[in-house]
Amino acid sequence: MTEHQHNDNLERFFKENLERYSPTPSGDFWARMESSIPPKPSAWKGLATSFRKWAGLGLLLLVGTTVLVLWYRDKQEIERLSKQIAKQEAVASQEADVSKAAAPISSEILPEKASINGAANDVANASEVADAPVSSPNLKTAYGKKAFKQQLTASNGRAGSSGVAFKPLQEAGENQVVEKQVLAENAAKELPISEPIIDETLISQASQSMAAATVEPSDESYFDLGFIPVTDIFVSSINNHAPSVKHQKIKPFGKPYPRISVESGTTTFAMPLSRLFSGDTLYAGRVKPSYSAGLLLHYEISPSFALQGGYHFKNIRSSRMELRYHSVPFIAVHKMKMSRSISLEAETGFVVNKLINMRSYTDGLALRGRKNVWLGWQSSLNLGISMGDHVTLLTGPTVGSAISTVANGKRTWEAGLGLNLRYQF
Amino acid sequence: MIPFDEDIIRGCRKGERKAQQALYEKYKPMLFSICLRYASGWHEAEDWLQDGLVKIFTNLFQYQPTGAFGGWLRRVMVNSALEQLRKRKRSFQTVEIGEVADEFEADEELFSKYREEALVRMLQCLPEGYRTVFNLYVMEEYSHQEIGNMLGIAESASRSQLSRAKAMLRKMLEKTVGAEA
Repeated sequence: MTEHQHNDNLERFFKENLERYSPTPSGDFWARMESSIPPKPSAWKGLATSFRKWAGLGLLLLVGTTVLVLWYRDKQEIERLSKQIAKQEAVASQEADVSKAAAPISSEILPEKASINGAANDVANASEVADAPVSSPNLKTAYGKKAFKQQLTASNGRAGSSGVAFKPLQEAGENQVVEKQVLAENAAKELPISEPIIDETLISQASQSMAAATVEPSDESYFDLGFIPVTDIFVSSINNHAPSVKHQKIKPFGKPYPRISVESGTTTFAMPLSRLFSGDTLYAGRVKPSYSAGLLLHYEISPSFALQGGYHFKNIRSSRMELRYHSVPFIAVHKMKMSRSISLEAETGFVVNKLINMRSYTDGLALRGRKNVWLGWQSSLNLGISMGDHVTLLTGPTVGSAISTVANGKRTWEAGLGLNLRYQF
Repeated sequence: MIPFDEDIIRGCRKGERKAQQALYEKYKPMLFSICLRYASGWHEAEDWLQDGLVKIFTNLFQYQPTGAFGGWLRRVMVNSALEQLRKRKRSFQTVEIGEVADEFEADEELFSKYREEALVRMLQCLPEGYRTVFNLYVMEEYSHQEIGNMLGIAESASRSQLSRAKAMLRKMLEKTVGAEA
């Protein structure tokens, strides 16, 4: 205790004497001093210079990323279109093969061309006499072109069973051959050409199938023309004597909602700490780029709305100090789809910041009046660029401000640029 | 006529040389004494004063008149002195108390005529780390925890440095004027 008292006396002795001490620098001190005084300081100039540098870097990053993404997308698009074209060519080739397969039929019936021609002539004659009064059994059986076409439709159905496609035959202009084939068959069965072969069941089946035909937005046949998907309809070959249409379930565009994504990224921003420590010049110093980085869970409730939260490490810097925080954001996201691969996302929410530590690496003084926890508000507008089925690149400006006080009963703001990657499960 | 602080501040913010000189003339004893206490010699203290004044002039736009202007100036100058010490990357090594006291040249006449100057000389004889901790604790009245945060040392290290600094100063005082102090 005696020792302690002695020490206190020593401290008091030094303090009282040194506080009275009033030394004066050398006489020429001010003359030397004047030459080293800089011109009037401009806070905005320093701030603007710092921002120009980082804004330039951010812009360069943005442009570079955009170019890379667009190049990647174009590459993917070209590959997709190449596959599409190859597939279509394969289909066309198959159709051509089918047509060729049908050719022997026509060659088989060529020898009977004469008799077919005869029959055809009969038909022609029949149509010519259709309006004439019925006077003979042959003429009674004459029924005109309409009935013949119905018969032809039914026969075409039968032709399908042998692998002859409905559509290609029509397009190839080979109906004439089929007509001849049908007529030849009829002749072989010794059916009177005047007798109509109308299979009502087949016609009914065909009608039902056509009515039930479903337009299928197939991924393979998807052409991206802005918003409008152009789908093509594949009509399958005729089976079971009926021109059926390929039935498939309509696939949804991605997974159903709600769905979960993980977002990882970083934000570079500026926060003027001088607002918080304006009473202590050397605490804050010039604004330096700060950053936050972390992982967010993105919960998509609907195509246009999502919630996200997670963890970010935040490092707020000035030229003379750093403040490090655990940062937990709760963000609401509104998505606006602009095209198949581009979207605009408006985000806003709250951020809880918990101080990890502070470092004042130039003046070495401890921070007074700091808050260990403060609440902030944050908003951003992100451009979302799809980089595939699962990955989206998000970039855009972000702004925020403190809702509660950060230090010394004062608040501050922040503005920056974010770059994030989102992976959808 | 001594100008008011408000006029000095306004003038300095405009970059007026006269206002800057007025600030210097008015506060130079206080500012220079701080530099002398933290520095190890006169010339070094003048260099630090010059740096500190430049900092004051360039950062004056950040000052808000919530507290005494003199207090703000004092704080800036202390910070500036600490910054200079940091640039040197000083180490807080342990020094034998007897060594320092032995090297100290006692001058009883100086002490009796210019006590304050003699005390500053004693301070300047202390190892840098001890001197810094002593100044921060005794003169600026920071706590050991705050000193630890400022200098990047443990609180216990700050206590230890202060204790050793005081022991050295006591020895120097005893050597100069006996056991009066």
